[in-house]
Amino acid sequence: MPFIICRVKITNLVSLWLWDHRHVVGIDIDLHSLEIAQENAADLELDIDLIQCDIKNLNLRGLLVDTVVMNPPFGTSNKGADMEFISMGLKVASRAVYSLHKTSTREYIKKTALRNCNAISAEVLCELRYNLPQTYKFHKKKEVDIAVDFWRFVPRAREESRGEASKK
Amino acid sequence: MRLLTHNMLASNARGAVTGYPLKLQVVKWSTKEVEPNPDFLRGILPKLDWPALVAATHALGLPELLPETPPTDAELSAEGAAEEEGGPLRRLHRALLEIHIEEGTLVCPDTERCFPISRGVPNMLLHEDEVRN
Repeated sequence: MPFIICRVKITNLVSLWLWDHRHVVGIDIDLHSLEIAQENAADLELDIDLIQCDIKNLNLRGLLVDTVVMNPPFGTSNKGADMEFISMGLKVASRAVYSLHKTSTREYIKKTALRNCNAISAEVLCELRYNLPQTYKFHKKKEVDIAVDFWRFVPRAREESRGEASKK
Repeated sequence: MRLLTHNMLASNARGAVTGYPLKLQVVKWSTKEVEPNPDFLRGILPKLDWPALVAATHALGLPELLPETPPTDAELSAEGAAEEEGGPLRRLHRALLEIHIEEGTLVCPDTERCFPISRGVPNMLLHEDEVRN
């Protein structure tokens, strides 16, 4: 079944093989990231479709998507940005959302996902070390090594409605 | 962008009711042959919006590609269906997965807001003041 990857440049495209590359849609706000994703997909001989879109304005018919894999911004300077991604993912996915978040925010993520984002379960599958290069001006150090959780969220079963997936 | 992706994408422009289905205007498209996967097609069929898919093939100038009503599960499961050139399974496979829209426009059905498709990638970005509340 189709699934969606958000912020495609950084997401490790190798993981797509797990899903037998049946139909993959990559979404990013930045065209340059999408071009890199296109090259990565071509190297792996994957046929993926790409959409340039701000995740918080995404409107999809939810029925078609079973899994969302994403690597949201960590929400350090823009608090709550990562929860917006989880919330969108859980509205669109029928099976599961996989996502990376800072280990230091574990309790907050769990509580918010279950209470506000329509998840019936939220579990950390493993803890990773994530080498974060300086990508934004507000990053003070050249690079930092941070602890990151790899999460699996399962959405609550719901009535489907066309084109209403991301409406708040 | 392939028609399977078009089948799930909607507009979030201010004033949109459902924003679906997006009208397709095609300037350039291409075909890339891939191996059909009957299990995938059978699984996806009940989830498709069939009229939206048919309308998209008409916009491509391929009104003969798909029938007005979707193929049955039996048609897709028939022995040799995947090998039958021009059969229902191959037509569905071609429509959903082999046709790529390279250049064109997606138009919101409610607001007429246009979203350009360039080098195969639809640009769904909206300005802050254009977003549906």
